[in-house]
Amino acid sequence: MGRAVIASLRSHMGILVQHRLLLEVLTQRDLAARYRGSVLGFLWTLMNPVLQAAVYVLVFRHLTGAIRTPGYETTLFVGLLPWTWLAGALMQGGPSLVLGAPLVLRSAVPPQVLPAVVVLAHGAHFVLALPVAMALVIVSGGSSSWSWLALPVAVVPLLVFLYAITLAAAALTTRLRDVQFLVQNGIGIWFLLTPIAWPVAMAPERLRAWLAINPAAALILPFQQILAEGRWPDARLLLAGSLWATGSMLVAVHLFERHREAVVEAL
Amino acid sequence: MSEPAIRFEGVTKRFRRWHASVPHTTLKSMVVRMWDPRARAPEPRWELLSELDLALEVGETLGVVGRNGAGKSTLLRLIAGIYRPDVGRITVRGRVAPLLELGAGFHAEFTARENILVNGVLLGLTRAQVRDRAEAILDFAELAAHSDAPLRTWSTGMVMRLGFSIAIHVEPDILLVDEALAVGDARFQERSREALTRRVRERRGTTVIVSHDTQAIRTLCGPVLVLDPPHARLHPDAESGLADHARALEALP
Repeated sequence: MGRAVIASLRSHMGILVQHRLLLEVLTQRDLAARYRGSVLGFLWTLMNPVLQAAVYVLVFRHLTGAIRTPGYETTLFVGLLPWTWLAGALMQGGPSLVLGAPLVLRSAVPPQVLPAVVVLAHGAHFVLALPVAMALVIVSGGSSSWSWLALPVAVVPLLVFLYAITLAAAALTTRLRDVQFLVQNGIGIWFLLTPIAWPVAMAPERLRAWLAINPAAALILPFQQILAEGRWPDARLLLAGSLWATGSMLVAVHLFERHREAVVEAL
Repeated sequence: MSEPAIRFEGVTKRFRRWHASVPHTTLKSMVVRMWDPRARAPEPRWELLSELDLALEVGETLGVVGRNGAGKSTLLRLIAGIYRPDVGRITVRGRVAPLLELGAGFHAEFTARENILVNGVLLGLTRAQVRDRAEAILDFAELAAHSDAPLRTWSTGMVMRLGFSIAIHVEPDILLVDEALAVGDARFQERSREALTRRVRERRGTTVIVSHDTQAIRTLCGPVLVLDPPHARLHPDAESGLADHARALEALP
């Protein structure tokens, strides 16, 4: 079993590495296509988390007064950036194989390249938005911190986890279009269950220990700790996030490789 | 003799039968099957290729003929690694450029130059190689004047010309051509056939051509593979291959 999983992972990743130039070119094209013909370009991508944050602050702090935690605004915005990456990758990546069928069947693009491109393109948006989050932290009275150097430690497990779930969603969608609707409906619920719009401190103490069973919480909270709170991320959270990333990757890649032929034939 | 460019050893390829009326997948059956392959009910499969052995030497040109649905495109996809055989082994030496559909992978919002980059990389070139060949590609397609307009403003024929021009300039070790000979106006057809003939005559790579055009098969191809599923018969020369193909067509009910 273990050896079979390793073999799947090796051949799966080998193909991605072999096609790295294609990944690069297709990711660039994905980004360029999004902004073609628009004047504001990347600002639109930034607008989504900005507007979302503004609404939550308006509702939870000012209209209802439900949240009084200091620094809520920055924590919220910082949390929204990795969440936007997750939601964007999953929503666009789910149908990526179905929509990209001609690339797979006529141009011999290896199927895993398509979800990978979506994850990378949204990852590029995330990285481009990071300086904005940093600026917001500084403007709202915080300061830059050595802890910011720990960002890669939070980014890598998130990237791996996002690739795994996007790959799984894309493969399942080829056979079962329901997955698309499941994702669309599930993502809003998942967001509310993840401590982004509400501060972790508001959750009851005994529940907080269980937060990491939500992979999004385990993977996104470290960003808030690093950037908004200016401290080193919690080691137990990082461990939980890495476990989620590794586990999901092994399962998704192994199943994908075992059913690769069925996925391609279903296109 | 050196290693063949393409080698099939006992290759069998089956497809599942699709029936729109039968709900073939439920969420439950799918999850169960994914976790436990033994739980998989034997699906009805239909055999397209059966234990095919084939060896194509470097520089040879293989013609593939057969009626519609006989598996011609499937054969090309097996060579390109898009499909994998159910049984047997396929060994391919060198860079494969599948020309299964002209302009596959083009993006309508992008200019010719941008599409040449993506398409060139798709067919196995590096950035630098694409840059070096871009002018030649545009010249051959006679589209230099339109190189900075987005493809959605082009006519279908122009898009096809660009697709063919890129593929022929990639100079791949193995070129797979699917019915792509009749592209554009008569003048461009003439030029594209010349380019393909030059590649074949000068043995600048191995070529596999799928076509219903018997004249093209006759002038371009050495060996011809007749697909008559689940059988495939390899003929050493085009004449006997085409005769066999004609007989197979007549034998159809």
